Amino acid sequence: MGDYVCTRFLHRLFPCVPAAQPNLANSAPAPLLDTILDLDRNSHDPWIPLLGRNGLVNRSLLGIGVVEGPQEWLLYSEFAVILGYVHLYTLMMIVPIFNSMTRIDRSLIEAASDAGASTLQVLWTVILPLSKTGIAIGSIFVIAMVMGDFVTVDVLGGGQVASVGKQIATQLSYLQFPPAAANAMILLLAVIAMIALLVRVVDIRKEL
Amino acid sequence: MRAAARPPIFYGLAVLFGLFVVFLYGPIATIVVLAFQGPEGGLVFPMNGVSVHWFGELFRPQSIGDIWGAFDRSTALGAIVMVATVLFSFLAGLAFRRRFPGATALFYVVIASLVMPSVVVSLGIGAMFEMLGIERAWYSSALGAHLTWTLPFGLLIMLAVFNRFNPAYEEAARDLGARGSQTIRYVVVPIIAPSLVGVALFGFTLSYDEIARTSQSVGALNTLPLELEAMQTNATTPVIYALGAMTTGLSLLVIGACLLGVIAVRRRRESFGSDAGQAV
Repeated sequence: MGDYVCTRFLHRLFPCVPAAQPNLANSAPAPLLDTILDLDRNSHDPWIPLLGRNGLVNRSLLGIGVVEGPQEWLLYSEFAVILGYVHLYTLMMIVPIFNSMTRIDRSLIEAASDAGASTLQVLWTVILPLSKTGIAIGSIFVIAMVMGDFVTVDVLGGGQVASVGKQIATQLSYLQFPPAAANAMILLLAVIAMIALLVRVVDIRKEL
Repeated sequence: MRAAARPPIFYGLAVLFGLFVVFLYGPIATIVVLAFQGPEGGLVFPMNGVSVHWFGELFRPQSIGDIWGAFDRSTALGAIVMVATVLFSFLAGLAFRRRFPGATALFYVVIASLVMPSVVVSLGIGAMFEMLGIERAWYSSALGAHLTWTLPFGLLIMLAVFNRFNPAYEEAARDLGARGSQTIRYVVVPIIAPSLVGVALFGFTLSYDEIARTSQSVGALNTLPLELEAMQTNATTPVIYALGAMTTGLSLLVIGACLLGVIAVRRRRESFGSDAGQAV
C-alpha cells in the first residue's frame, strides 16, 4: 500500500516541473507516470475499519444520531465495491485528462472570453471538447482494469457481489479450467468491443 | 495568467477538492493509525491504547506466515521487472520515433496487452505453462505476467516523452560531431532521466502490488500481495496493519530518495548555468 501515499506526493510535486523547465522533454508526461504507480492492490482493506459495522463511519453516524443502528449497506455491498473502484482508479482518469488539458492553448480560452463567453460556456464549448481525448484514454484504462479485476470485488463485496472476474477466479479455484477459459474469452471479447469503440473516437498514439 | 478576483464557485470547488483529498488519503491514514493499536486492541476503532506492539509482532516468525520470504520474492521480482521495463521501454521508445514496418501493428499488440483483463492474462500464462509441462515460478511465469502489464505502460510513457522531445538537441550534438552512441549517452539519456526514473519507480510498484496477474502464474511460492490477501481472510490482529504501515514507510523512503536524486541533478545542472548567447 506504500506507493499509494507516495504517488500523491509525486503527483503534487511533478506538475511544477513544466513551469521550471518547459523546454525539456521530461516535463509534460511526468504526472502520467507517477499516478500509474497508484494501482495499489492492497489498498482495499483500509475500508473495512472505516465502513464495517463497528467502523469509523458507522460510529460517527451513530454518534451524531443520524441513524438508529449500524448501517449494513456500507461494507460488503455494491456500494463498497464501487467506492473502492472510484478510490483506486480516479487518478487513472485524472492523469490523461490533465495531460490533455495542459496542452490546451491558453489563448483559446482568452479568445473565447474576449468574444463574450461566460466561464461555463468556456468550459463547455472550449475546454471539454479539447479534453475529450483524455477522457477517452482514461476510460480505456479504467474499463480495462475494472473488467479484469476480482480482488476488489472479493474484498469489498464479501461474497455478496458478483463479477465476471470473480466468477472466473472462483472457477479456477475449483480447477474448472474449461468454463473459466470460456468465460475469459467472452470477457475478452466484451472488453475488446468496448475499447474498439473508444479507439474509434481517439487516436491514442497521436494524443500521447 | 492574469490575476482576477476569485469567483464564488472557486470556494465551492476548493471544498470539493479538499473532500477528495480526504477521500484519497483517509483509508491509508486509517491503516497507519490502527497499526499503533495497543497490545489488547482489535482490528477496528476505538484505539485501545497506543503502542508499537504490532510492529514487534511483525518480526516474530510465528505470528505471521512466510511473510518475509514473500517480501523478499516480491522485492526481487519488482527489481527484475523494473530493470527490464526501463531498458525495453527506452529502446522501444527510441524505435517508435521513426516509422518502421509493422510499427502500427506492434503498437496495437502492446495496447492489447495493456487492456487484456488481468484475470485472462493470468489464466492464459498459467495454462500455457501447465500445458508445456514447465514448473510455474515467480521468476519465470509470474515475471512474464508482470511484464505484460509494465511494458505497455512503460512504452506509452516513453512515447509521450519522445513526442515532446526536441530533436534540435540531438541535431546540435550531431553537428558538433557526436556519434550516435554519444548522442544517446550524453544528450538523450540526461534529458529524459527523470522520466526514466519514473518508469523505473512505477515498473517496480506495479509489479510489487500486482495480484490478479500473479494469482495463477506464480506457482508454489507466493508474492507479498498474494500472501497478504491470504492473511486478510483470517487476520485477527492489527499485525496486518503494522505490515501495511511498514511497507508504506518503505515506499515513501524509496520515492523520497528518487525525488531527492532528481532535485540534486537539477541543482547541479543549474549550478553550471547557461552559456546561451556567450559564443564569440
